[in-house]
Amino acid sequence: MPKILIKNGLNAGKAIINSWASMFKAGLKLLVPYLVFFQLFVAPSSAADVSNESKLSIATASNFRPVLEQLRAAFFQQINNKEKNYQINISSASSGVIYAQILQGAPFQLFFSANTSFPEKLVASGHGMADTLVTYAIGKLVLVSRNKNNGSGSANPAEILFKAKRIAIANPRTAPYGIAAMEVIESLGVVDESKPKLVVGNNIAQAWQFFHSGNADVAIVAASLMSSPGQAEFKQEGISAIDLSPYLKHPVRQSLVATKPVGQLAQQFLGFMKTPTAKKIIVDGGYLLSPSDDYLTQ
Amino acid sequence: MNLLSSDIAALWLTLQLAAVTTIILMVIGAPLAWWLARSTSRFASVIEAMVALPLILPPTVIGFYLLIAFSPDNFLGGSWLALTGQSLAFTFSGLVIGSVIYSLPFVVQPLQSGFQSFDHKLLEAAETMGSGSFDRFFNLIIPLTRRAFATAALLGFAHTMGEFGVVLMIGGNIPGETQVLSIALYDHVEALDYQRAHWLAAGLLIFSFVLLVFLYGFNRNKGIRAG
Repeated sequence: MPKILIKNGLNAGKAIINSWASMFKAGLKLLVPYLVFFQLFVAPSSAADVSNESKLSIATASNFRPVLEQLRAAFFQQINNKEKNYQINISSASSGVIYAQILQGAPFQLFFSANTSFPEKLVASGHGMADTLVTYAIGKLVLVSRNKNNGSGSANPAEILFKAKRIAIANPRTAPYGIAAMEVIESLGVVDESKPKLVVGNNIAQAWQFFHSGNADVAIVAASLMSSPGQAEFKQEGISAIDLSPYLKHPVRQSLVATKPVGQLAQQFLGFMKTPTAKKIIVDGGYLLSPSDDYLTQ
Repeated sequence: MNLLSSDIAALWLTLQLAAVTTIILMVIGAPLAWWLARSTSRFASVIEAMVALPLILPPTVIGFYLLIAFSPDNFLGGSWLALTGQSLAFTFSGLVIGSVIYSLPFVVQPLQSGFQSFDHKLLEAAETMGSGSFDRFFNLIIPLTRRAFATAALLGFAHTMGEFGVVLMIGGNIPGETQVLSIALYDHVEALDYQRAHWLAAGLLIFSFVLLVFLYGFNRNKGIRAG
């Protein structure tokens, strides 16, 4: 029985390979002239622009993305990018996801995390440059709810969490704001009541989407999400946001780190982050600045 | 073996979701496929396109619009809330609705082509001999289109087992309620828990493969190709 099985398998395999081979040969007849054309006329011009000097890829925690985009715009304005044509690519995800990706070799040159431990871990494992690790912002955690659910306009977070039907937070396994949200829930003493009502988003942006779409009536998110340009119309819809910083034992210290020998464009951008223009954008975006950090008070 | 109870819960939940979705789809899909196979109206191509849409739309699009539809402020979510007192998003019921839409073409299309290659003269002959509708359906149509029914049921089941994008958008990742296998796997990978991820991924791969071998083996052996 096994011998026949192997023989049948081999014959089937040979037949499949034969039909692939004949299709491949037919395809080659078309492919070779195309490749020749491509190499001669198209390829040379695309080889020139892949250099560290004119392209920068940044990975940021989801909560900081809107502010980072504003910083990029202001930076380009300052260096007059219309002539230089530099490119800064921004990718966003929850900090834990980016950390995992960098460990696997993702080509991000700067990592704006929502905490300090992920950048520190990258430095310890040799992926991050120790002298580039700085705290760029302190995050504000807020409890958002719709006023219509809170007729009495309660300003007591524990009460709001108690009465809520669905509480949206970011994933505590990968997002620092999710960890902070759990910390607040614990310190408010409403863990048992809140846990069955928790709805977990992949990252802070998805937690916000759950709330924004009306499916979660309460959410614990970063204050910056409320300040992002696209959400301005929300202020009229009667959303109340309560600052949860008093209930946080560990403030959300957001730090950045560079992963390669810092290129010229990266250095320019890091330099721009120290300017008053940049600081103002960060504060307007719903963050606080770290007073004890030399980096930001220079 | 590092499987925790949440992984077992994810497996059980996924099986339940696939089973419930498949049953619902077979019940609503068979008449729909029958109508599509026999209809001569121009409207049929519109319905056919709507059925085929989940095949080509990114699941995140389906999930995105479902999340909006499930909102208590909108019609679907609001009426569900009024009827049952519960929200649709982040619940098993919401997942079932999402899965029914997501796997619809995988059930309707095999059934439709099975019915299309069915010889209607047989039906007419049975009718002249006094056979009623139910009798014709259960004793004539189903036996001869067995392959189509098997394909539809197994594909619908397997496809729902592998659902990810829609659940990601409307699930909320609640263990025991909406954390299906694919979401649990994604969660482990994001948290760098690769060992648990391996168990889930390999398990799902082997299960899907065995299911498909069974399906194709069944179809080959019972092959009355014309039916």
